[in-house]
Amino acid sequence: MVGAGTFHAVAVELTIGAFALATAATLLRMLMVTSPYLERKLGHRVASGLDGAGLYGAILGLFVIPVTIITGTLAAGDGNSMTANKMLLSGLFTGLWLGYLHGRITLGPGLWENKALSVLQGVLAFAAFLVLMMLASIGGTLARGETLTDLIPGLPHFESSPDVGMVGSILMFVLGVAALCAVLFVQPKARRLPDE
Amino acid sequence: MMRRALLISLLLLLVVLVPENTANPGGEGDSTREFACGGSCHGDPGLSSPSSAELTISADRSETYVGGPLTVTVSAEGMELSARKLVGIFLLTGTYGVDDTPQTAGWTILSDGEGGTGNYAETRVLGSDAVASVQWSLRAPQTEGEYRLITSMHHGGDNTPRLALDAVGILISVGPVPENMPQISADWAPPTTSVVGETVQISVPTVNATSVSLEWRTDDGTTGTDPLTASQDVWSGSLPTPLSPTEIQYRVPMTNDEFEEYSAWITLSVEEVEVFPNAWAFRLQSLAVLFTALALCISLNRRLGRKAGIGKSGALEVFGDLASMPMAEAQVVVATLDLSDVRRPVGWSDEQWVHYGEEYLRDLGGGV
Repeated sequence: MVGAGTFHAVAVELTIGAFALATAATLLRMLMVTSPYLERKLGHRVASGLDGAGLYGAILGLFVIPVTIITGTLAAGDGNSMTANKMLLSGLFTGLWLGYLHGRITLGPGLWENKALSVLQGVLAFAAFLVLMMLASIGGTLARGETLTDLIPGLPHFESSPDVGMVGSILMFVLGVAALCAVLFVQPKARRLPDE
Repeated sequence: MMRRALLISLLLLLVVLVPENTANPGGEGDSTREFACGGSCHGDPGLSSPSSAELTISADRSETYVGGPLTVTVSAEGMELSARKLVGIFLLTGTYGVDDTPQTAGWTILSDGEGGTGNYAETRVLGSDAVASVQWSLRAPQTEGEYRLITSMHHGGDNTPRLALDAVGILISVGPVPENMPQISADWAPPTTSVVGETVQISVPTVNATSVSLEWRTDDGTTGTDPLTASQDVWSGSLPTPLSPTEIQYRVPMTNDEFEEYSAWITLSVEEVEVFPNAWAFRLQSLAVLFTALALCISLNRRLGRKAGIGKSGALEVFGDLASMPMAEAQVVVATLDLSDVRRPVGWSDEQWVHYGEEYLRDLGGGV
């Protein structure tokens, strides 16, 4: 019998690997946009490869995330404050990568021709990476009693979790859905940018 | 070529420079572990550095009987410590690396003093001059004989995993059960954990006992003895209700006309109840955070994407019609050039003719 914890370890490796690849590729692609020297040095083929690595790394990671969350929930048992915080950060993490993917798919590879959009993609990937570090840190605390937050100043500890109650949670959920609907159905869409 | 070789050399150097570290400074948790620790803790014992700890192992008796009680205490002092000040203490029967736990030799661990029933317990100490101590409550094997119990300890210090070992230990003689000796049944599993505010009920199945009581002591030195009430050889009672996290040690004195016998001291670890809020509330919050983050990202992408589209082929979608576009000068040029002008070069689109036609005609020496 193989426990959920074992499956969780495998799923975590896949998730972290995929998103680490996507983050590194995105940041490098962003640097190519902001640095003409890098753009010239690395060339169009590398740029295209980095774009693909970022895109497909994010897609692979987003496919694995549900497995990671489900196996993690099963392995955690009754749960505690740290697993509650893991849940919240997982939501933020998934939202950031979905946003990254939405931008890349709707605007197309032409977004890398625009500095502001490139920086936005880079910032999203880096922010998601920081959230990933926090998630991994909580996982380390739960499994090994050690945390990365001891080494990296500035990262918060997660011994306690916010408690807004069921009513507050429902309110938050409704507001979140409303915000997403407003953006999707009210805000004017941007068209796909030509890839020059 | 030279650069590649340099890069590969650098990467190999980085791999070689990774420090060898087989320890888990955060501990591995209380459990049943063999001397080799199953590849966890410090990994292979040979990878650990020596420890300056002084280990002491003692028992409340040197002789017991089949299924009889035994309390073993291991204490350590004078050890180096890591920043976490964590030590892990083993109770073992040998240093073979496999099958060297007391359980393998037939002993039953009723309590490890930390709320568990394993032979390995982790505990924190205040400093190198402080004493780390773990107490095990055991039930003797079902086979008579001489049994040796030894101890070892894992800890850190000076960024090195360290191992202390007392391979001599103590020798315990397990003899036959004296006739008419009051005993606790072999299948009794005493409670070792509880939560604050919960009254722990104790039920003790015994044989040959005419009077049974419950003796307890707490961290702050409070002690007490309460008689247990019998119902068909099962004696029942309760421990005091703890109002804060603490440890309560208890044992069961049993008497009959001939003997007075005690169980081993068992440690009840009382912990604070961690109230986990409704899991569904956190799932909803998680989805709310997801949707909000996604909405923010999409909003930013669309805003910046529309700006980026202006000046390219998306201008019409942004402004709706050409008249509202800020291109007044171009419109003036369009009005003065005839799109059907015969001087227009073959292959030029309307846009090219509008933009570059005037310049083209001037180059020819003509006018618009």
